[in-house]
Amino acid sequence: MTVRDWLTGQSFADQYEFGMDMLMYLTNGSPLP
Amino acid sequence: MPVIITPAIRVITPHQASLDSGWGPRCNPFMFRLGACPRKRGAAGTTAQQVKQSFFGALAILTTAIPVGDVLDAFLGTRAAQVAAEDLPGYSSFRAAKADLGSPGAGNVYDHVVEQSQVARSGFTPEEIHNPFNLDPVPRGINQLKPTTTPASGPSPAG
Repeated sequence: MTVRDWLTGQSFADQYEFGMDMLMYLTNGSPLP
Repeated sequence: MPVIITPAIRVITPHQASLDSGWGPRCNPFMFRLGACPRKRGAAGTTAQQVKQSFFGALAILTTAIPVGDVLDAFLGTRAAQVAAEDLPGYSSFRAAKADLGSPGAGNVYDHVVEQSQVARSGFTPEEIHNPFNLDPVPRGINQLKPTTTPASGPSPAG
């Protein structure tokens, strides 16, 4: 299952939160969870 | 503090100010305009001892150090800060959004926080996806890293 598959069907708010979290990890250079 | 409003007006260029005046990465021009951006720690708060030096010194500091979002809140009121994302106008296409919003800044691109593919996958409308709330100005390199560093599978359902 890809992330896109996993996100599909989730609410806009949940997908937005996930996207912002990913952006934060990339911006800070933190390791992905 | 209404006395600071007049000198601070000149600061307001939403996108540039959101990038340069101590506002965090979780901020896009419309969030900034609504005063809804999270603030970086320590972005302000260094003026307490400086302000007492002199009237003119304090005035100069106030024009540069007062958080712009606080000033905007004073103008817009708390109600504006509570406007939901879905209340913002969206665009039918990314091209239209970019044309209307203007440049995201030198070296930056607009990143869709919720991906464009979710129009077809999740049934979101183009207006939701190409909404200023969902368009985050980020450095081009970060935007290009996103698809390659996103894990191949999502978090576990239990997590």
